[in-house]
Amino acid sequence: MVTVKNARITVALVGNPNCGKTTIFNKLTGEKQAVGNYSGVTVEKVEGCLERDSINYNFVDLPGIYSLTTFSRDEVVARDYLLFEHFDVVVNVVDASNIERNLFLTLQLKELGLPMVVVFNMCDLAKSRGIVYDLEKLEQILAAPIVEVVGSTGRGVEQITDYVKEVIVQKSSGEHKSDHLRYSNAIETEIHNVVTALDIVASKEETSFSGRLNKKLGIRWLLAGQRVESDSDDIVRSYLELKDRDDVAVRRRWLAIKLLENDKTVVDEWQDNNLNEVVKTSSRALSNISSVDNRVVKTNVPVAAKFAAERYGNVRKICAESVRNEKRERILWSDRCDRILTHPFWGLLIFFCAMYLVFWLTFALGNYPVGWLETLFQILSDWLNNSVWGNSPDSLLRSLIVDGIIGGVGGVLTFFPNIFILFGAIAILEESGYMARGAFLTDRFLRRFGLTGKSFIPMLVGFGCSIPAVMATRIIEERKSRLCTIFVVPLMSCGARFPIYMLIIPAFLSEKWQAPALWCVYFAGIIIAAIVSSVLSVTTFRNEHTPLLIELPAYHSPTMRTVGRRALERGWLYLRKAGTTILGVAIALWAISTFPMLPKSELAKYEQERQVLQTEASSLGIDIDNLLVAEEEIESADEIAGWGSDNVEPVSRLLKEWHESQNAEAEAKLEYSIAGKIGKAFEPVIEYAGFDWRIGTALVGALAAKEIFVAQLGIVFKVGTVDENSKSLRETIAERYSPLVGVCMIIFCLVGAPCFATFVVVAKEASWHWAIAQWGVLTFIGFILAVLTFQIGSFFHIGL
Amino acid sequence: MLEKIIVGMVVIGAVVLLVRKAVVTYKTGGCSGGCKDKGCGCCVNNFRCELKPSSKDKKKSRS
Repeated sequence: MVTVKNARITVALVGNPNCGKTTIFNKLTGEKQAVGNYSGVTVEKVEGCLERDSINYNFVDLPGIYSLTTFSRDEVVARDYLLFEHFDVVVNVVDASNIERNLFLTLQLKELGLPMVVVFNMCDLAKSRGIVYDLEKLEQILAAPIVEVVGSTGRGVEQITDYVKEVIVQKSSGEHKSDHLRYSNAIETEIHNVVTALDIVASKEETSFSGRLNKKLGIRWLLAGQRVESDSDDIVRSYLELKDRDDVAVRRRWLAIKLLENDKTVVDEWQDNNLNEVVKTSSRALSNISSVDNRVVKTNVPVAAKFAAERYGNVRKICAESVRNEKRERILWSDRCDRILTHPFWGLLIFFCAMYLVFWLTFALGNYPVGWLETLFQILSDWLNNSVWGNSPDSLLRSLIVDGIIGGVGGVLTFFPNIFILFGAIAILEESGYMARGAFLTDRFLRRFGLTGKSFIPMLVGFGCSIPAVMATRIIEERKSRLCTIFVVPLMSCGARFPIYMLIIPAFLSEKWQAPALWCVYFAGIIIAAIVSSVLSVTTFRNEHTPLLIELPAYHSPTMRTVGRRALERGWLYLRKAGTTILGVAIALWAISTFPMLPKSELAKYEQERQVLQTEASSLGIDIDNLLVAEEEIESADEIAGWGSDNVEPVSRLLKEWHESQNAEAEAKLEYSIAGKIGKAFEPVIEYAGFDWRIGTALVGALAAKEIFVAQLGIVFKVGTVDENSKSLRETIAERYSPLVGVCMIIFCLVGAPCFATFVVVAKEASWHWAIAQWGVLTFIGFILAVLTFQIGSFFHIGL
Repeated sequence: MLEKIIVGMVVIGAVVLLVRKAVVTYKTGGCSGGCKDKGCGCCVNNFRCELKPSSKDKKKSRS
């Protein structure tokens, strides 16, 4: 028996969007790539390995495609990989519950002559829908082995590698013959003509390689065989040699079909390479095909549509022969749900209610653990202040740990439970398949503002993080719509902004108004995004319309395991960021909030003030240190009376003046520091939005990452005050600022200044100009909105 | 004095970490960490880091 050993086999996973490729990829390789019950989750190829029976399998998970004619960037990634990269076998993942649509791509892969294993995924769902198929017949027609799997449970996934091996063994022994799809006689004749023209060009180039065709789809591609790796074993080597021989013929036929289809990428490449003789032959062939088909002539249908119609005809024929639906008449449960959930009015209403429920849950369930964490950090700070550094309150190390690290990182970590709950709830909506309906429902709404339903997926991802959201815009075919979506994606409230809202909203609002307020903030982001994009669509991107083509997956009941894993993944990312970037920035911000230190002459002035107070206290027979310790126990003036009725007034005055002196010293220290000077420099501008220099320093810190805003406020109020250690940051914010300033802070953080990482990814995905324009415009809009809100609010005395 | 040295080293360490993160973010186009399990989670969010996984990382895959 022929066996394959000690080989390295590269397997490309390809299929329609949302057919479960990544789920299978994760099961095979043990990777943890993101999966979702909606299309467009994978936008870039991802690799993973598996070693079995001394064979090293390298799996490549490709973005989903419906055909080899591509429009969007993620589809180009998949198509280019299939055409130009080195791999051994294609695993075509087919959604078994929707065979007819999925086989369209399968036939195109067959047309490309690729050695293939077909994987029927979601067989359980297909069976529950009454879909029955004849596997043997399908295998015969497709000339490829078929393996049934259930990706979500992993059933049958292990067999995929056995079939991959089998394909290699069969082909290397010459048993496997690639059989291409047959078109009608008229088309086949023209394909033959173009192939002959290509043969002539190829033979000329083979003898005198001029190098004039050095582009991707040029003659190099047409002539080149795949390089046989010297370390491969005999079977793999002979397999590759046979594959190369087949490849050349198949590639020419495929190229001929693409030229006849008038595929823009292919035709452009050949015209650029001055191979007009081939282009001319294909144009002649095109008109021949058109002239023999009256329908094409009358209706002006492009020839590409004729090819597609013939392919679909083949698919229908295959399905008629080997697939039947025993429950065809029954209306599916998913369809029944969709009658209400995708209704233009009720659907939207339910969608907004669902989003409100998510935010309500975030507060209702999250507030308890948040309170526990706040208490925990306060106890830790108090313990370090009183027990560890009780005798040296001016210690630098104490200030670094208590004010810098606990005040900064602790302030961010406090909101971990909210993050966990928010992303758990979003994962439930995604896993159930409801989010794909969200894209459908919002399409009409978004279209009015120059966006499409496809923009909804990146915008949805943007609620997690703007970076993958910018990458997710690759699913949008039209370049201008894509740029427009990239521009507004940072307006979706990402996870990093969430702690800012969680700090400010509960500081000013009672419990029953917190969830509606958070919902309004998220919704405001969408509204501002809509307005900005509509301005772009009537100015920069005028007259651009792209239709929405999105798959609505069947509703799945989300498993606790998947939802828990998604929430934990996001929570872990948050913790990891708090432990690395936020920690680093918190330490750096503490340093700039502490240094340079106040000159000794200035410090002596405050020391002198307190000496005077101490002398005064001694003359009254009171030890000021005892008084400060006892102060924490005193809750009212009546209790001070316990010190002696004559002393009530002087004691409270002494305490007040002592604290005033301490606060003035701390404030002077902070103002003298680098952070203070930066904040003071910005103050003349930002005061129009109601911000003081402390908020200014936090806004500067937030340029690195949005969570820094909370961390810096934590540091500023710890370093800048000494009598509020026992108060939470929320209480301090509520005491120092008015609700109107709180609203302005939220507005600016929501709209203005995307973080550094977003800036870079926009520059890489679009251009540096676009990234700079986006940063500048959004920051300007954010600031103007904050100023308008503050000035109007102040004028009408609202929220002061 | 010892306290000042410790604080100084911690602050310098934090600055070095941040500069490194900023450089990697710039080089990798958004991912602030490098490859899987080292970065900001871009890989989990399904776009490929331009710094390819090392052979050590690849060996971590299931065998």
